[in-house]
Amino acid sequence: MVRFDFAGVRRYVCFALLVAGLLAGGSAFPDDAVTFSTVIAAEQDETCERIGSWTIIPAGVEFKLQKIGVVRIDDQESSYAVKARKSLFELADGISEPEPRIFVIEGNGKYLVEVMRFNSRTGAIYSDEGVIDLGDEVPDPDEDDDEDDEEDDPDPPVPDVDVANKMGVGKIAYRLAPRNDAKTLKQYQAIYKQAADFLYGIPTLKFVSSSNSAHASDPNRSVIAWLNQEYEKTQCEDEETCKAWERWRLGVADAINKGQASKSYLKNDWYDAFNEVSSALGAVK
Amino acid sequence: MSRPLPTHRLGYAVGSEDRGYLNSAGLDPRLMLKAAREFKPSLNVNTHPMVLFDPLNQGNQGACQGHALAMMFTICYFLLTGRVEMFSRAAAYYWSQQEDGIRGDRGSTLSGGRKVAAKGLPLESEWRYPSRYDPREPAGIQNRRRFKLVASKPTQDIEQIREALDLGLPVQDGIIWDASVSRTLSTDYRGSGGGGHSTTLWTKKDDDYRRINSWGMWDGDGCNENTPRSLKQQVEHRYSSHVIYAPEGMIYPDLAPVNLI
Repeated sequence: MVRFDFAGVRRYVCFALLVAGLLAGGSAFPDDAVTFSTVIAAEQDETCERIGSWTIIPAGVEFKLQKIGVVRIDDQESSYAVKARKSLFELADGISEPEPRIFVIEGNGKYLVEVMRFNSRTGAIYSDEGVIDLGDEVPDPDEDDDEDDEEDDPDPPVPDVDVANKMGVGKIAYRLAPRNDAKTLKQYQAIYKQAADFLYGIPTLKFVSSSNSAHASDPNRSVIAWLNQEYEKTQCEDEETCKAWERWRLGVADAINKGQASKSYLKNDWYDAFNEVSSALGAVK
Repeated sequence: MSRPLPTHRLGYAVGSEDRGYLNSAGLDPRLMLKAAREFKPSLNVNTHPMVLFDPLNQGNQGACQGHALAMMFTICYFLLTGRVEMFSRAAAYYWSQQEDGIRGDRGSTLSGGRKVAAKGLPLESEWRYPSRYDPREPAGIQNRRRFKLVASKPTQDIEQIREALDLGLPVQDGIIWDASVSRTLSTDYRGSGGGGHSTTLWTKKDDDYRRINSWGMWDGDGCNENTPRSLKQQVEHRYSSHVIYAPEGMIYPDLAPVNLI
């Protein structure tokens, strides 16, 4: 049984809904309920105003500073959705809602922030836009944020390949993959590609999870049950290699779990994550 | 080979349909289709939907519209999240009736269903479908209306309906149900002499459009197929209503993580 945390409710309204609502006779107009600001903030300071884990620093107080964008929605009645874009096709990665109706945007760059609100009682649709400029974009450092993996990975490979890591699983899948078992590597590469395709009915349809517990454990229906079935069927060269692949499997699962902790996975996120694992394995020489 | 299938309980109160409301509320189908076209990757619609869920069964109640509405929620939730949840058929039926002002087990309408979709549905586990007509609400159920869906205005444009189905969107219909459509493969629809029935159209079998009914294992898998010609006749029939539902705009609670292992 899938259980939901209903303590927080997150609402998403597609931009098409807004446009459609306009054409369907709804009205969309800004009011004073939404404010956009760029602030200097530091985390974990008790004397300053706190928004979730962020601290707003008054002038004259020195801390380890970082620019963040803050979007406040002073409207208790409407459902809402917030999007921050760097371009028409690129949404911001670092957007969070640490408190209800207060959004924080992190990461260098200039963002166009769109806030849409829908009041189901009055039928009114509100739209607000603001620009948040957090400074020039700098290249990401060659980060190694999973330092714990060093303990699990006694023979780290030479990291000389640019592996896609948008879902946070590509790098770990690449780094932890055993280098001495090309056959299993190719099998897992194909398995994860197929797992992604199943979600879109290629060649057949499977789900990520189901409230029907019997279905959830059926590899003919569940992509996760199918993945676990494929793992069971795979044969490694020797015991050490099997252990290495088990470390890889746990590392990939852990990375996907961490990804879900920061952002709820929709179906296309699972698709992207599975494909990211497959691509990472494809990059292993 | 097409063969006749039994007709069970119906429940689309076609005579009570509020066409004025249906035609005024909801999104322009063109915009829904535009958003769906841009969503990549696209669903392979030549796939059987019954791997996702078991067929629903309205039993002896005139709850077809409620069942079709609950199925819209299940399909859209899956299209958006990849997860399968079953939504309250009791809430979908009885609340639709409240919106319609219909008392007793005399069916409901698509306009009533549209209002329920906008106000929200709970899960099937929170208000289970009873074996007999019983619209009494469980305590606190109004606070469980956490899932909400957006629907299109009805359309009798067969190209819009075909495109919606080809893009993997579900369509809820309300049609006159007669022997011409109660077949394993409906090739030619007449829509005469029968009562009103509401079902789900979703996915295809080759070139034919699949109907997911709410009569259990009807035709062995709960579904039949309709040729493009029959679908066109159904959509264009003067008493028919076809409404497209889409995952874009769906409102739902936070998703709990799913463990890969």
